[in-house]
Amino acid sequence: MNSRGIKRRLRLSTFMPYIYVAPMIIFLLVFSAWPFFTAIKTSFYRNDGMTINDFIGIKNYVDILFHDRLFWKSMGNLFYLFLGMNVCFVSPIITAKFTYMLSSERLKYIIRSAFTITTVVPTVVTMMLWKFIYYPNIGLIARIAEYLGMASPNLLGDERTAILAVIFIGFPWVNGLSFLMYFASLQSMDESLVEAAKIDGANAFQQFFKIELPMMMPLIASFYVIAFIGQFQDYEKFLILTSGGPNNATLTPALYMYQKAFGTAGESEFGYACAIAMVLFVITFILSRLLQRGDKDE
Amino acid sequence: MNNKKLTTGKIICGILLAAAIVITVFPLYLMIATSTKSTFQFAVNFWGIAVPPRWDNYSVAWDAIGKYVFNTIKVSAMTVFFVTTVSVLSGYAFAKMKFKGKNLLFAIIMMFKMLPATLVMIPNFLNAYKLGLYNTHLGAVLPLVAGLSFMPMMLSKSFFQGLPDDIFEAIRIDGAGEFKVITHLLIPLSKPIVLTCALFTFFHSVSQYTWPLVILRDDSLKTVAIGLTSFAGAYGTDYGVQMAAYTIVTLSLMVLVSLTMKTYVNGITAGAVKG
Repeated sequence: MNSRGIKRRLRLSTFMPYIYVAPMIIFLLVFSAWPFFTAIKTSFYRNDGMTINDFIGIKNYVDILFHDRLFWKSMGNLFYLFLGMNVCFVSPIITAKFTYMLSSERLKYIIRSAFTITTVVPTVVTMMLWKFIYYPNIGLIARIAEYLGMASPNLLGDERTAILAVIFIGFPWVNGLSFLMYFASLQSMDESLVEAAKIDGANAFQQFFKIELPMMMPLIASFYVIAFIGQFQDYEKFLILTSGGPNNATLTPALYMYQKAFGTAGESEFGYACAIAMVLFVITFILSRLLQRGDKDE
Repeated sequence: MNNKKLTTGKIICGILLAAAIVITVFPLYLMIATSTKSTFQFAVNFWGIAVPPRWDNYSVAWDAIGKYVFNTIKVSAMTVFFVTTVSVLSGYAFAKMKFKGKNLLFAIIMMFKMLPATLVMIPNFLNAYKLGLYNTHLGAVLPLVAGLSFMPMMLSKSFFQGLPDDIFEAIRIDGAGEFKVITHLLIPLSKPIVLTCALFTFFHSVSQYTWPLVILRDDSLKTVAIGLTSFAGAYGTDYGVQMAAYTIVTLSLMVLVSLTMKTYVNGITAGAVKG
């Protein structure tokens, strides 16, 4: 091989990594960075997506923070979601531990597969199934109530129960993906540690809380941050199940943003919606930073 | 070890575990059982399986959602193509290549990960007009690629980090160019991770709801996730047909994940194992 050939190859190989990373960067620039700046800019405008596009300064922000009763109501609803999230968060950890404790490898495999299979059920199907389960007079809850001789409840339609009913969809339902991760991390653990603890007379509880749980902590912490941020951002299930009703009992800030932008045809308020999105972004950004810092301090 | 000994603790664990599985799987049972019931069978027999099964529900359901299924296959195939290419290439570069600004680029990408999808959705919608993406399948695909690529990129990064450096050095010392590295080493070696990323992306793509809902206007373009909700409205009280539609979509995804279970689970949990 002559020296020029080597040189060309060297030059090519210095460029190759950038070529490999380029598609990711391009997608991020066009569909994340550009929209981010569009969001900032639009939040200072009154914009209906068609004819109106007036610069109004910080009026949207002032309105949201000081004059918008609905926005604060939706923030209040978040409180319930956080309570629900913390309960839901524990169940995959416990389930993973229980599954890990089973002595039969075959049974472990079957349970792991069962939870894996549930991860591919599309959100829409899950939500429509639960809508069916909650459906007054016809659904599963109504049948149970009938059996117990009670009146058929309309859990999603009642202002007092609607948000709890939506949260409950996530409750006993073990999140398959986090279950898989916790289970894999338990399985990969160094068994000699646990054996040593057993010889020292550690019981099952000590074994779990002193050894296994601390080892899983980084994984748990990262899932917690994701779940926490998700509460602010995730509104799909409310959109499908209740559209924020009844009487805004299940309105979340992100759903409110969606409704401002796409709720009523011809009455889009993209500027206001972008300002809501920015407020949410700033809150989640600060909170997730605090969470991550707290996590590092431990 | 006396694993055989049954303690109260173990029995309680077993009961709780069984309860978790039953509650998780029961709605799916209800879906499949109801899918073959006529309205009359549904009214008189809520819990059991329909005898005789009314398979007609499936043909009625398919007539209504078939076109949406094909749209979803098209949209998801495009998404899988883009996401897998983007994430495997960048995952490989970050794991196995040395280049200037590598850590900076990675930090920038991780920073973008913090940008919530909710924040960029409305501006993406406004920008889609300018890019000519509104009401097109490409428009339902491209804006989601970056967001869907984070997890597959991390998966492929940790996959490639797990491969020994020696083989890459050996083939380069033998005088192989980058192209040969790709065709002779990278593609054969990365089959499992490509499959994992493709499956992961496919399942998430099928599940997408809000973005296709706002970007696709024409009914003929809509994906099955959206089709299912409008369809449920149209078939109001015929739960058999509704459930048949859900079953068609859900069971095909379940069959797919069952066939690829081992690669899929090992692929997505590899990162957790490394911790």
